[in-house]
Amino acid sequence: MYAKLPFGTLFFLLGVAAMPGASVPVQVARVLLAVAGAGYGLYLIFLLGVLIARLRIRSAEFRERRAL
Amino acid sequence: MTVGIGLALAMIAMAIGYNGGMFVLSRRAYQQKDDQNGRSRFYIFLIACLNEEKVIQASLERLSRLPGETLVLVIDDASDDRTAELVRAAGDGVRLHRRALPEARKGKGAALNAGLAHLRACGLLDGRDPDDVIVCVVDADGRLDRHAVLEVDPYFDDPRIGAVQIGVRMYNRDLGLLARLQDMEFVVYGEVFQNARRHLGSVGMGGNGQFMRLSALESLREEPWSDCLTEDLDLGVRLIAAGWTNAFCGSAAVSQQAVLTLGRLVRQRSRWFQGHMQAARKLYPLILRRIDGRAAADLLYHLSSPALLLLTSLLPVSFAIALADAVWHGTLGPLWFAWFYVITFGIANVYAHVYRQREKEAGRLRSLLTAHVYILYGYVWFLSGWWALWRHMSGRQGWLKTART
Repeated sequence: MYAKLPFGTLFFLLGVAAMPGASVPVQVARVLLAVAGAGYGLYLIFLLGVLIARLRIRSAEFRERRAL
Repeated sequence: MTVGIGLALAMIAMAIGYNGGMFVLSRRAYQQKDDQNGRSRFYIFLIACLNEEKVIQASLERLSRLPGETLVLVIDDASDDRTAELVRAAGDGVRLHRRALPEARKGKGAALNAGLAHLRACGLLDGRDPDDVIVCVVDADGRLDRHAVLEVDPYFDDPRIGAVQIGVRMYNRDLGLLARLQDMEFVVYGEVFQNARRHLGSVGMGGNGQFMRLSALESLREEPWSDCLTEDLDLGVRLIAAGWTNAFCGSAAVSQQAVLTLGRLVRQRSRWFQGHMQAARKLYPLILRRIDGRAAADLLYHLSSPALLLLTSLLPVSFAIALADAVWHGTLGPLWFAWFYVITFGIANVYAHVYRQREKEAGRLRSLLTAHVYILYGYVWFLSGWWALWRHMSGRQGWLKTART
């Protein structure tokens, strides 16, 4: 896949987070941001799980090699 | 909600850090060994075809004119049109291997595997050192630069190099803005991300213009090309896991046909996106077990990019709502609009600069304007991503082949 995050669009967020006013639409916009942020939180937890899995796999392989 | 917005800001920080870091890395020179300098190599071009009568003739004519010892093998995957007839008429350097149903039409990977098996069975590889046989995959619409083999060959002087990916361009890039944007997309991807990955050891293979040592393909425990929709991504990672180094050669390119309608573009990208998701499930365990350090980190990030892309798709919606509200209530002054412009389109200057390095005839202003549109063009991936997710969730795994024009 040739996609990288179209990160020009990511900067939009800075505008919404900093935008003045707290009307209903702005609140909706911030809820959408919070949902994206929550998803990113899950993504980070997933990455942590991947890191732990890697450490466990590597330590198991190390033990196997030592046993041989 | 504050925590969520904070995390969303962290997501942006990560994306900016990653992309900025890759840009800096891509500007650095790269050194390689040349222990096998002076060896002559046999180049075999594999083309998997399914109903490619509109484009195959021009591609074969160009391949036949390449210098050096070359052979072209066309694998006809049970086409209904005149593809096989055109291949037979192409001349001595072009061979045809026809597949028949029900074995045929199982995807590009299966066709390429059948082609490689045919090469072995017909004795064309007998007596050749697999280190000096280079297999190149070209799409039926692919037009290799005449100097491609000359540019790629020195990379294989380094015995660690298992595969070389060349740049990808669009030969019909003058036929409209959409084609031009695809050309810019591939140039930016190659010049920034693939170049940077040479330093990380994580260069990816593309479906078009991938050159591989036969010995590298043979070192894989299973058939080289898998049945997932992005068999190229899969193969590149498995080569790295097998201990080979992938290289990127940006000084040569294969030109392919850009799709000219938005519908076809979304369809094509949804296939790539879905293939990326398929490949990620398979490749994560392999990367965790067999690939170390920076290459592993980059590949894991790259494979997780569909998830980030879907999350990112919420941001422009959020922005559009907030902006419309602010404009309606007149709470935004001109300085706000200037700020939005800079943070949204400022990066267009970098894209334009990178693109002009490969497309000299594009004027400075034209490149800059195209780069502005290119930022909006990124939204195509959002549409494709959600469509691909829906196809994935509903169990549709078929090959949405890109139609030629």
